[in-house]
Amino acid sequence: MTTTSGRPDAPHGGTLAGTSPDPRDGTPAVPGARILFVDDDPSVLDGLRRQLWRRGAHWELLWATGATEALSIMKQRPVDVLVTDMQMSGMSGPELLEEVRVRYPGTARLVLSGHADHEAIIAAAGPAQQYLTKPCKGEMLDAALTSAVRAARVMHDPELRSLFGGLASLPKPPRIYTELTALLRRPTTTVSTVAQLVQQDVSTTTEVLKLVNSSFFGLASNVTSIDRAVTLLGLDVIQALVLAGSLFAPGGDLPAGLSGTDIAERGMRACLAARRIGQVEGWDGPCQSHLGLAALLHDVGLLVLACAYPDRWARLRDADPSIPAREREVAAFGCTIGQSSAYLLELWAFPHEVVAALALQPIDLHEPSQRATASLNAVVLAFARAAVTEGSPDLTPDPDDGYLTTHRLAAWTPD
Amino acid sequence: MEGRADVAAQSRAESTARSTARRIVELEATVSAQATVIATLVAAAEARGESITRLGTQHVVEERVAHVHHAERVLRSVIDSLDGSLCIVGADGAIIDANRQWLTLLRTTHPTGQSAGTARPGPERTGRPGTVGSDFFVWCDTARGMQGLLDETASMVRQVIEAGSTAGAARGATGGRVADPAAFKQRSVKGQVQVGEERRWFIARVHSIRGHATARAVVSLIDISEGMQAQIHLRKITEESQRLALVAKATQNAIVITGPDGVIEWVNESFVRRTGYTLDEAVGRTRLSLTTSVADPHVADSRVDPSPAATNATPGDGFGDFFRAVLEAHHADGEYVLTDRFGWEYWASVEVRPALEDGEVAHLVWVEQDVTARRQAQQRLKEAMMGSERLAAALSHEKTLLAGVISAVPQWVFWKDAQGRYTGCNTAYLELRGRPDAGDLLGRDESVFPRDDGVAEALAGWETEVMTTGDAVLNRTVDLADGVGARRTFLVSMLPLDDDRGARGVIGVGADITHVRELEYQLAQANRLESIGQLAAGIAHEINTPIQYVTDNIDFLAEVSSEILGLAAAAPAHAGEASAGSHPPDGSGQAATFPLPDVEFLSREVPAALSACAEGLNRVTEIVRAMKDYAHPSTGRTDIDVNRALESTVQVCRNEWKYVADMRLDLSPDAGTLPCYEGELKQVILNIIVNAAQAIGEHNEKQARAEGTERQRGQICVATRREPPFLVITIADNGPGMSEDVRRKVFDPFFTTKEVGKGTGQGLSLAHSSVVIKHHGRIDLQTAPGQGARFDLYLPLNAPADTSSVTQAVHDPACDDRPRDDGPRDDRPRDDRPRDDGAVDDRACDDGEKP
Repeated sequence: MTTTSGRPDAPHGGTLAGTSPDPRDGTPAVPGARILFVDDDPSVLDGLRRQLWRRGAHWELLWATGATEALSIMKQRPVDVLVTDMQMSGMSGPELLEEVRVRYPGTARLVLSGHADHEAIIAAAGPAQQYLTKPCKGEMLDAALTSAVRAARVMHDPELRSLFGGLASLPKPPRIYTELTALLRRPTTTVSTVAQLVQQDVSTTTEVLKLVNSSFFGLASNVTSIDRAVTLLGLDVIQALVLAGSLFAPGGDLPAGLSGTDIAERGMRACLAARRIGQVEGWDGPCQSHLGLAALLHDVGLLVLACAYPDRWARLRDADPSIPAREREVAAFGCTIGQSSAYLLELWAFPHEVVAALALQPIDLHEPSQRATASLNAVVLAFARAAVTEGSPDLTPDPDDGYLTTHRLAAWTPD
Repeated sequence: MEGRADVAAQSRAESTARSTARRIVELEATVSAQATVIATLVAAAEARGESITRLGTQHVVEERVAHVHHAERVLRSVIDSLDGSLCIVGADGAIIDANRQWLTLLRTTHPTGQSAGTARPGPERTGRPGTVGSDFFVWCDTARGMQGLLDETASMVRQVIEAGSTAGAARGATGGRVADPAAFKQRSVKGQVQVGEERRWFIARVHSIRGHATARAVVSLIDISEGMQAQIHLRKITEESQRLALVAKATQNAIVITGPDGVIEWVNESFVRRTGYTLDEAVGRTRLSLTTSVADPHVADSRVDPSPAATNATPGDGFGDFFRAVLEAHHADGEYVLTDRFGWEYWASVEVRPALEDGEVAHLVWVEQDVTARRQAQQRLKEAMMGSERLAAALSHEKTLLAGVISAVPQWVFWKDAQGRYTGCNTAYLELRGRPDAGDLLGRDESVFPRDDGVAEALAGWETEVMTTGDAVLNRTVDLADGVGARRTFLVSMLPLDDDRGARGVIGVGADITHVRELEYQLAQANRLESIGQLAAGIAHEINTPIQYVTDNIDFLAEVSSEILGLAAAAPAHAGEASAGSHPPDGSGQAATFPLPDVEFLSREVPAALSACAEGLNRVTEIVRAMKDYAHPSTGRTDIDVNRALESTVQVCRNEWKYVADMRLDLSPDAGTLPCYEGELKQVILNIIVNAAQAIGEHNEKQARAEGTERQRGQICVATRREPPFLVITIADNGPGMSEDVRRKVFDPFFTTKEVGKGTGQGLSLAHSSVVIKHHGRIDLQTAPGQGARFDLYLPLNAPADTSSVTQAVHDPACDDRPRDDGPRDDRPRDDRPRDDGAVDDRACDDGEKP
């Protein structure tokens, strides 16, 4: 049974009588997002439909009973967010998620499952996705969907659009980085070719080596060549370092209160912390890389915006620290830093996982609902960043049937 | 010897007497002859005119006569000095002369000097019978106490007298000289006579004499009693010696006679045979020198075979000491190893005794018995005895150990003979029967237990069975009251005990498994809870889903109703405004326009939302109820509505099958009630359904992956039907089925085809034991690869009393296949036959549980 609620632009839900902004979360929803719900129990879909009847005004809600149907819908038009149950007859949830990941990597994936076994879900769904357990309260669902939509459609965010649209010129990624990325895609690349490329840019090289020899990596002896650095740390770490080295190079024209070195250092530390957590969780290499990159580049948006809007930056810099970070940032720039970085990185065609993780920042880990509705990547990122800025964040663990259990938090916290 | 000497002396004396007598006679004859000669010579001389001094001749004759008288006197004294009684009998039977002893004898024979009463006819003889001049024969007749002897004597005298007269002519020229020995025969006779108060031996000798005028016979009567006795004695000794000699000859024992110094005087044949020394070689050497012996006689005990002498034998040890002891004490016994001439050793038992002569040790008699065989036998016996002792000790030890073990084990054991009498039991059994000690138990039968504790009855049947069939009855459970009256459960086995005479007793063994029963119960409970746990995730999901959409719908309804109420509240104001006519003409959604509710939306969604809520909550209630039902079934055997129970069970595990299969319930309306153990039965059904769902799911998953198609759904069908005496529950699926190997083992405990961690394989095993043993039913399994599986559970509608346990899950072939007298046989899964497809529906299945 498929029901579509309305055309993309014509509100159906919203209110019984007319349209008005959704009063629930206070932030403007990204309009026009397309969300596809999949469950083999039609009662569940009906319930969800009724739950989200107001949202129908902003979003296009699609319904599919079964994975096969879902895939055929997605074939017709791309979907921003996919919400699926895990246990279904025919193709199961995990299989569907895998299909979607491969075919439509831009689609945010959200699991709404009756099973409370987090481990199983994560194992099946992967860390890049958000997951919710039934029964899920309306608010929670809404928040999760919103953030998922945000992450998926970061480019469509009107605030961000206006922010970046107002810039004279859109910043580009450092040339060195682009070349390096292209180089790394070629199968014939060797360590020496990478080193050669990097060494062409003297300042970048200096920065990279400085970072390599910093205490972050805990290397025993001084590394003096890129070759050696690559051998010791791996290509993806060098890739991140090159980016940081070129982006956060000292000097340049930064407004007061902003230091490229500080940003680089913080970024490096968060990168390492995030990678370590990824390792602890047993995620694969690419996953760890994405996490690391996201952590490293969290503030790249800030750099751009601070330079472009120094007064807004001043507002942020001087804001009251007791106000939650998200509020501060939104108050200053109209969006979060994470979102801005996500926007930029999406521009620069960074992997979607990196963009999505950043788009959800900042996450207040002390807020259970924020924890629960964010993707795992985002949570890890937030944790890593918090670990860098404030030491090990003292969090209330989830109960043992939750995800962030005592055990897990202990494992994430570096000794 | 003395006797002989006496006799000899006597004879000599007699001879001397006789010869003297003869000599006298000769002398007389000579004198007569000479006188004649002289006369002749004188005559001649005178004739010749010579004068011979008559005086000279007379002198010579007088000298001669004087000689004769002298000789006579000598003769008389000689005759008188004889010991014997002598008389000379003349031709007329008169006693011519007698010696003094004769006269002495007369005092004995004729003490009163009676005259002969019975005289023979003949001239009258005067005086006392026997005196000189009297008739000899008369005397013979009348001699007291000597009749026997004298009769013969008398006849001999008569013979001599007659012979003398006839032989007179045979005399030679020499006159009295005896020339014919035959005529001078001496006749004698011996006999016993009564002399006074004693019996004595006398010899009467009669011999003829010549040359005397009328003397014809000399009769001598000599008391030869001593001689006789000596003779008799000597004869006895001689006989004895001869016998002894025979014995000495014949005996196996070696006999050596030595002097007191141990020098050999004589050896018997056995000695010769045994030692190899001949008599000549042996005589003159000491007994010791003829043997060497092993130093330590006790060491020799172990060397029993006669063999060349060991070099460690030293003369002078052992036997040497013995020898010396013998020489001192003249009396010894001992057993020694001796060696023969060739050096062969043998065991001898040596006895040495002295032989005394005149109070002095004259000889030593050595009797040596070859006891080698005996020693060997003794040795063997000793060894055998030692062996026996060791064996006995070992056996005793074993017995004690065994008895100790049997007594110590907590299981009770008893054994009885073919008549049902106790031949033994252990402590635990006594405690069971409430009896402090075995005491008088042995040899008595059950009647010795006064208390009727039910044990005998409980066990009697099995005892009889064992004793008659000779087959063991193993592992039966029975409830008994123990020694203190508490009821406990025992696992009992009875075994036949055949003795060597073919009588068959019985051994009974029992173990208290009461705690095992409790464990079983707990295990069953744990299993049930485990199942619940395993299902819990699915059940949680089942519950969460309806809660989800109920919440969603309620939220919706809340919002909707608040909006409607808002509108309803604002309606009168709008109505007022409307009537006041102050709204703009275009009605383009401005706030002043009264917003009309979307009635179409409302009328569709609101009722639907409400019914969805109701339905969802209902679903939750059902699930919870089924869960509760499952977790706390009634205990014990109760009557259960089978269909209801099956529905509930299917509901509980819904999450397991609903994604992979369609469920069809074909429950016969007349299934009715079934007496059963509700919890266990439901567990069984659940296990089978879950197994089926898992099998279907995996199989279809694999197939879908392999073919790249979407996963198929399978079918499971649960059906009931009433087939007296059974109620039959059928669970059939169209999954992959089982191979023959799997099918055979599928009820074995711990058998599982699932991978590690996914189930312990207990489910079907418990199912089997529950249905078969606890419910006395039967499970049929029909399956084949590719043809799904069909379980038919046959449950008796009338359940007998149960005494068995649930966890007899180990398939004990000894007890399972035997027809039980209280239930149907347990058939293992039968051979496959083409499945009757009536149970599984190929039609598009309608799951009656559709939410």
